[in-house]
Amino acid sequence: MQRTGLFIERAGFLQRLNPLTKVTGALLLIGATFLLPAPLTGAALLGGVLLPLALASRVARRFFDVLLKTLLPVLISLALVQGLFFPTSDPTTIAVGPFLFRRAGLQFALDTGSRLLVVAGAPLILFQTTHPGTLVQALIQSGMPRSIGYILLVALQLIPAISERAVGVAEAQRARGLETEGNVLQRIRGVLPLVSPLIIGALVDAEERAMAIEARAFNAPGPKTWVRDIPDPPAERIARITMLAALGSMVVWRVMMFFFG
Amino acid sequence: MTTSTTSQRGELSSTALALIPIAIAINVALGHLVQSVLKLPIYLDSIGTVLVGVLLGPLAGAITGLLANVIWGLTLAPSALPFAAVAAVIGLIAGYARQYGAIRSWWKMALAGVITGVVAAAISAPIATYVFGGVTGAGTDVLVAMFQNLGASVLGASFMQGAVSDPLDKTITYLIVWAIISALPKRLLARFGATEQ
Amino acid sequence: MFEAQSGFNPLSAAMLDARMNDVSPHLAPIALRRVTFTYAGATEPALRDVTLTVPAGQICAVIGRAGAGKSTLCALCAGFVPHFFRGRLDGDAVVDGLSVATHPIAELVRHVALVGSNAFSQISGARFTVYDEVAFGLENLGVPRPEMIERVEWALQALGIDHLRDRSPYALSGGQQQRMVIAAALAMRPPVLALDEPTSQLDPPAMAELADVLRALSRQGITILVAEHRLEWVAEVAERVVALDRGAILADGAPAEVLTDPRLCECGIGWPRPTQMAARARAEGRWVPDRPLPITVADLAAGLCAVAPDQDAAHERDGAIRSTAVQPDGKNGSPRMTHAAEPIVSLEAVHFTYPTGVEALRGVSLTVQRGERIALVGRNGAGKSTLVRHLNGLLRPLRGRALVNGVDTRTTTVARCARHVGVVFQDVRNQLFARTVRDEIRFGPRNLGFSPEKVSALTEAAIDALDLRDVVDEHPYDLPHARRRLVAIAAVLAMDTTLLVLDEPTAGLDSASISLLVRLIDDLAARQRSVLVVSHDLDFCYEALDRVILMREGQIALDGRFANLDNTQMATLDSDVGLPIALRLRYVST
Repeated sequence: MQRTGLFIERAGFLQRLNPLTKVTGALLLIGATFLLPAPLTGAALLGGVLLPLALASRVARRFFDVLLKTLLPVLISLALVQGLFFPTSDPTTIAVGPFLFRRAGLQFALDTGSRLLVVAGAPLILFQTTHPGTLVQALIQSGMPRSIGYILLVALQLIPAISERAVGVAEAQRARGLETEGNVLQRIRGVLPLVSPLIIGALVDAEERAMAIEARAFNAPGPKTWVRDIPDPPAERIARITMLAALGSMVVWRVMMFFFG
Repeated sequence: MTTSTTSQRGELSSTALALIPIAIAINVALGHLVQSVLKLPIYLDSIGTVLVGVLLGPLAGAITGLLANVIWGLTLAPSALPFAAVAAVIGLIAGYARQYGAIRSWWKMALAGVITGVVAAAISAPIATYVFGGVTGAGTDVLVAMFQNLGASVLGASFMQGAVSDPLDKTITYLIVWAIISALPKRLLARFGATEQ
Repeated sequence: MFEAQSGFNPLSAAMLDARMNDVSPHLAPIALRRVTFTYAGATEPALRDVTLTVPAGQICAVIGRAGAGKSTLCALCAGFVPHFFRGRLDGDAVVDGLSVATHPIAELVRHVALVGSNAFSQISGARFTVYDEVAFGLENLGVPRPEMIERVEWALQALGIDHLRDRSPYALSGGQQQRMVIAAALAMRPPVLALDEPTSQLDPPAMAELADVLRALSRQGITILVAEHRLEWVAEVAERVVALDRGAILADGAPAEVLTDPRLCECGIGWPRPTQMAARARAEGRWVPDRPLPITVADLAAGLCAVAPDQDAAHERDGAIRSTAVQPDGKNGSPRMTHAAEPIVSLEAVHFTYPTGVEALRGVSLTVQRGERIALVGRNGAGKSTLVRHLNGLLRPLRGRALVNGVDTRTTTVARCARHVGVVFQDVRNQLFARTVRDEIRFGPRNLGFSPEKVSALTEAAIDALDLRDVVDEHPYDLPHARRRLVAIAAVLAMDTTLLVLDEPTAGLDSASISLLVRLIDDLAARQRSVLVVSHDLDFCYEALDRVILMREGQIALDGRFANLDNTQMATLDSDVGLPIALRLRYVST
């Protein structure tokens, strides 16, 4: 029915975990790709961690679908731009057809690309297996300001409605003779009549919504309660501490390497 | 009788809480509207951020920018997440532009747009370089290739690419915001214009 | 109890008065005493010396023209005046024992709930199901979970939305959203509910449902204050009516008295339609002279029956009705110029399917001639909006043809169709953007490339046609909702198109503004312009228009004249959208 962001409603391994555990895991993966040597780490994490997790959570197809759709243009551009134009003193080149690729450039593209797949893939699998409402509730319960959580959830649900309103504005103004299919000058003249109603309407909405926030006692003093409970078994808490410790030791190792290695 | 709607603990007022999510949704919806209906090559994907910054100040502006990119990451492409810092700074600058009274004349707004564009380019360059290898997968990558071919480093080329395209987009954004705010009804200005951070 | 004492000396009477003021807030859920409120920056007060006491469990309706102070009164009872909308407040306003001036909104929400007309913007948006949305306010108040669950369940039951609990708040219909927002407010267990124009976004079935819900809540002891402009709905649901005129109470009493008070007509609020019709009948001597004027259709029918008991009742009532409404068939009954000119718009077997797969139009054929006055009616989702978007090329047929002024919409642009067909959409927010009313109205004719003199003449004519002369230099958004809609209509009227399409033009309008629209449509038809109105307001359609087109499941189920509908056609109309009062009387009687 109504899609809520990237979340896919399915029962699987990651879906059963507490959101905080998944957030910690994603941070660990991203940290590792920057702290450990590329491209091996990236490849290992993608194939050895993200792929099994995606399979166990029954989102593997959609995971790779979205990952490639969003990253493929970047990866291709990376290979072309850096492969051909990477600033380097290394004269080694590899000929592919009529093009002379620079070895150092391809190496750079490979390193960055492998890292990028994990940097984008870790949050992607988090969002695909965690309902935004649950994620925000867990983050608020562990100290994120409630206002930040509120803004995130409302924005998420408003995007379809505002997009629909944008279509309505375009229809209303075209029905008043606004030329949107003419030359560039005519179309530039159309920017304001299209943008203004949307924004003024948004401000009017915001006033009414501010009343609703007050009416629901959002700013009432005192402790808050939650109608839903997010399970957090001790095993997951231990797992989170372990992952944070691993991340910490990687940082320490990397700093030591920098000074002594 | 004149109890403030702003919470006393330095949190966001209910007005800010109501406006920011709508501004974020506008960032997403407007870029699409202008490109699909008018087929103009401008993005305007920070118009909501600039609007909130100019109306409600630096803090609200920064939060709008930051969370807009988080939402972008949550809904479409997690690869937008690293640029959240850039969006936050755009909102922050818009807030300071308000404090310097930029809203009073169009050329000050245009100037604020140029400054925002240059600063945005400067902050995105290292992120683009270290996370994305200097490219974005869009047409502007041709510029990166060109600058690198002229002898620039990856970081330098990435910055120069941004410095060419960002100030124009941000200047247009600021001018549109100026045009809209200077035509706002009294009632709304009283609610949004007078709320100092 | 105190009368015996108070009769003895003035001193104890004063004491009694003091004690009554102290006591009465606990007795009456809403107790306003000499309240005057002026918005910050305004010169005139929005409420003047208002004294009002509403007892527990009463449904008290507040009526008045746009800007009369109805919304301010509701906002005051919930503390939004003066805490959210600032200004100067004098007098005592006490709700459920609390003075609204000295208690913050966050505390008042446990005592009084305010629900506005636009349900959409009152959804918190922070929750993904109806159930969680209703619980949201309780979470913020820190209500313990077991109690929270119990209250949410009660509220869902009370509003009849239990079956929707797992749906997304944004996937509900307007009426369902309205009930969810009320449930969310009532879950906080306030004994007082203030509703500001609750029906303005609702279609007739949803209005009837809301009335049932309010009656049920009132039986449970909840006090309801409802600001409303639809007087027929007020007559159905209210136990008491307060009429406001420029911020002051004009009349206060039982619905049957207040709604038939002649002063309502003098100040522009008007009467409910059954009352108007009976008054016309009375003027023509077809109403028992000492019989009070009715406020409901049932009373109207009974009254018309009583006047001629020994004659053929059906015929007599029919005759009465003919002359009680502005009837089309006298002056404009027959289609005008059917052969003289090319139709303004003609649709030929139009099919349209949205990319989502929804088959919205399934073979619609329709022509609009000059000088026609057409009502386009049908249930939500019947295809009305899709049809309207084919009249000016916003949508183009997948199969079949749509011709605007003889030109196939597939070969032209929307901007060019706009020379012949002007459309005012329901949501006027999507249209308004200029600094002043005059600039807003000028935008359309300028787009069409008219000469400056012509633009100016058309603009000024439209300003006068919709009675906006006094606000031409105001910002459209500084006007009340109702007048904003008139601005939107004027802005399209000024384009001087041969066909004017109005989508739900009467939503939120008071009766004086509706009369203005009726006159406008008459005038346009007289000048060989055509009007097509999409509306749920059948009485308005009957009064202002003559041809009726009923859409059902993407097809035209009925296309005829109100004056000539036979019983089968009336049954068809009735089953989908209901009948105008005048036809309902005729239909029931035969």
